[in-house]
Amino acid sequence: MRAQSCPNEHVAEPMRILLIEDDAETRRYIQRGLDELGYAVTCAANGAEGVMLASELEHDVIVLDRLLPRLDGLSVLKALRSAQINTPVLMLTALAEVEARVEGIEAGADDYLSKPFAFTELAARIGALARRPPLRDPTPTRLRLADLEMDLLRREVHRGGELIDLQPREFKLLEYFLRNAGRVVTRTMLLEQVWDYHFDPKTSVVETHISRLRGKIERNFQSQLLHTVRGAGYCLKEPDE
Amino acid sequence: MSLVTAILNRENGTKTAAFRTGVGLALVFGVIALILFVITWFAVRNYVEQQLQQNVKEEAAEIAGVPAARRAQVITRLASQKPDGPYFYGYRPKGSDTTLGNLPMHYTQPGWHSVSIQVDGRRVELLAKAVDIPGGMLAVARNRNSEDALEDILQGAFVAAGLLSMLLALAAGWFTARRYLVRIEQVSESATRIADGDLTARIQPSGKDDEFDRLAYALNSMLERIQQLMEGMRQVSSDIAHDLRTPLTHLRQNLEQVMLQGEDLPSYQRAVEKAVLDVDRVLETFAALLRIARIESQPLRTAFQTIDLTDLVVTVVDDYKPVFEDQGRKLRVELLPCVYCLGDRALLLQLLANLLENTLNHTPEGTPVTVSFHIDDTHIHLSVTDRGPGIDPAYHDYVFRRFARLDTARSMPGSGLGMAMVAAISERHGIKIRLLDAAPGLRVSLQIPRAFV
Repeated sequence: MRAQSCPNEHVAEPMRILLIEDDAETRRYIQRGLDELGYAVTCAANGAEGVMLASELEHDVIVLDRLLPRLDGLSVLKALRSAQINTPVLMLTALAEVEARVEGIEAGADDYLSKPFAFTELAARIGALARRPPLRDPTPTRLRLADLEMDLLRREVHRGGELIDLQPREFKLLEYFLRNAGRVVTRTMLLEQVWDYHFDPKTSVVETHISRLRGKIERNFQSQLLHTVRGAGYCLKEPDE
Repeated sequence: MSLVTAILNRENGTKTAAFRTGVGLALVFGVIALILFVITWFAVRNYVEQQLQQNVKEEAAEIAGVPAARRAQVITRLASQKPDGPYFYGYRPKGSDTTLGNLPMHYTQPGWHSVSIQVDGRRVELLAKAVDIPGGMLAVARNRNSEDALEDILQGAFVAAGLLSMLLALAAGWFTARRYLVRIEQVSESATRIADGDLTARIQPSGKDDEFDRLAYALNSMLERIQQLMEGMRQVSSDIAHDLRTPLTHLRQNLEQVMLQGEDLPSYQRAVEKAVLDVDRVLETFAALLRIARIESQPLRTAFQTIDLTDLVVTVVDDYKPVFEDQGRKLRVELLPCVYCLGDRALLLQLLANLLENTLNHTPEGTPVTVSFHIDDTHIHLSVTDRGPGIDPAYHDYVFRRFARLDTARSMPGSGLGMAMVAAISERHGIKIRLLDAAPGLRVSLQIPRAFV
């Protein structure tokens, strides 16, 4: 497994991740991968231990398996939230259905990933959760990256002062990229967040839209903003990074 | 009693419902006979008693009418003419202690008396009436022989009739119940055969079209369905095994090859990447199968909401339009605004996406596709029409099966689960789905129940 090439993987102070997973092999697999990305990983093998660790130590992200011995994932999550521990939680589950997902989100999970998953997918989602600013302006009216600017009220996009005409879906896609600027975003994340598709299209819907969006925001400009991260997804970032 | 013996001699004869029904019926008839006997007995007895009293009263009145001078003579003559009865006479002149005639009079009060006397050494029961007449007391009695005889006849008749009807009831009950129970027995035999693994076993209807035949039809159609489901399951299991063997074989060959011949890191890396792709394909197939199973097993219409179908179709079409355009295809929509149905939005999105992807995967580039709908009072008729090669009508049902791959589509991408997913989602939404020949091309027609807001 290769580390991703998107920036900010090596920060001065490592991100602290709490991994609550009962299956030893999966735990080792995730821990090793996250170690390699420079995260500091704490592990818990059951729900009770997880709740204890979560309340004793500060973490940036909690990765929580849905099915756990002693105290199952949903109960752990409810316990954490009722104890005012608002650390972002990524739930892992073998139940891929939309209802299970909704149940998790309602219980307070910030994201939901079904097994089996590619490690790059997990890493991207942890990245998206970990770097979510704690007190982000909940309703920004403008998003900006380099000379690219999006006005959310007027639904307009400019690059270098030039108006760019986007289809509604392309606008939504770019908005998601801008909100997650600098982070790796996977195809599945795009499908879920931008398209609200909870299945995997067998055709190149995502790729086609990305390529059209690229054409519109990059064709007439010098620098590339939207990068393909091999084996992982896409990353919108400043040209000089 | 040969019938009872026959029943008892049957193996476990007394344990059958037929025998119990027979015995039950016999008891009921016995009780009925007893009640009838008691009622009849009292009624008849009462009537005979009245007749007796009437006869005695009339005879007494006649004797009383005889002039006083001849009274003693008449009574003596009557008594001596028929000393055995049926009538007995007695007369006791006023002031006398002696009684004339053959009826002893040990009572002094007028009225009805039961008397028993000895005639020729036999005890005879009498009903006597004593009346005061001028000059003395007259008594006339009649024996109760006729009454006793009647009672004997009644008793005999009822005992015989009661026993006979009980026997008949026992036999009738046993035969009737036996007749029906034999058919239940057939059902239970079929069920046992099925439980033993013979899924083709069916219950033979008698052809009388009665309740038992209807039970047989209902059970047979249930069995039919079970058999279909079991065969479907068997089919799916073998399809899964077959479908997964291919990528796993590739995976193995690939890994074996690199193990034997791999020389440098890049060759290993390529092999591993290929292996991950192969495994992903297997996992995807499993995910799709699980999803279909989940959709099929979910309770009907949970979490359904009102969906603006027009909006949903426009959304999916807009998402796919660029893909179509990149392949030089036209994707046209002919829609009506604000058409609603009940459903699960995520599933309906997938249904439409799958149909569009099917046209992308199974028609040559440049083939135009049209999504259109029209409505009637109850349904929305949504169709996705392509101008591609179409599907032979013989295969129209087949394409909805899991892992259905037409020979013409072997080389195309896809898992063979897309249309099975479409079928599962349609089923869950009460959507009727049909494949039609668009001459040329294929039209997938969905009949979606409308909702109104």
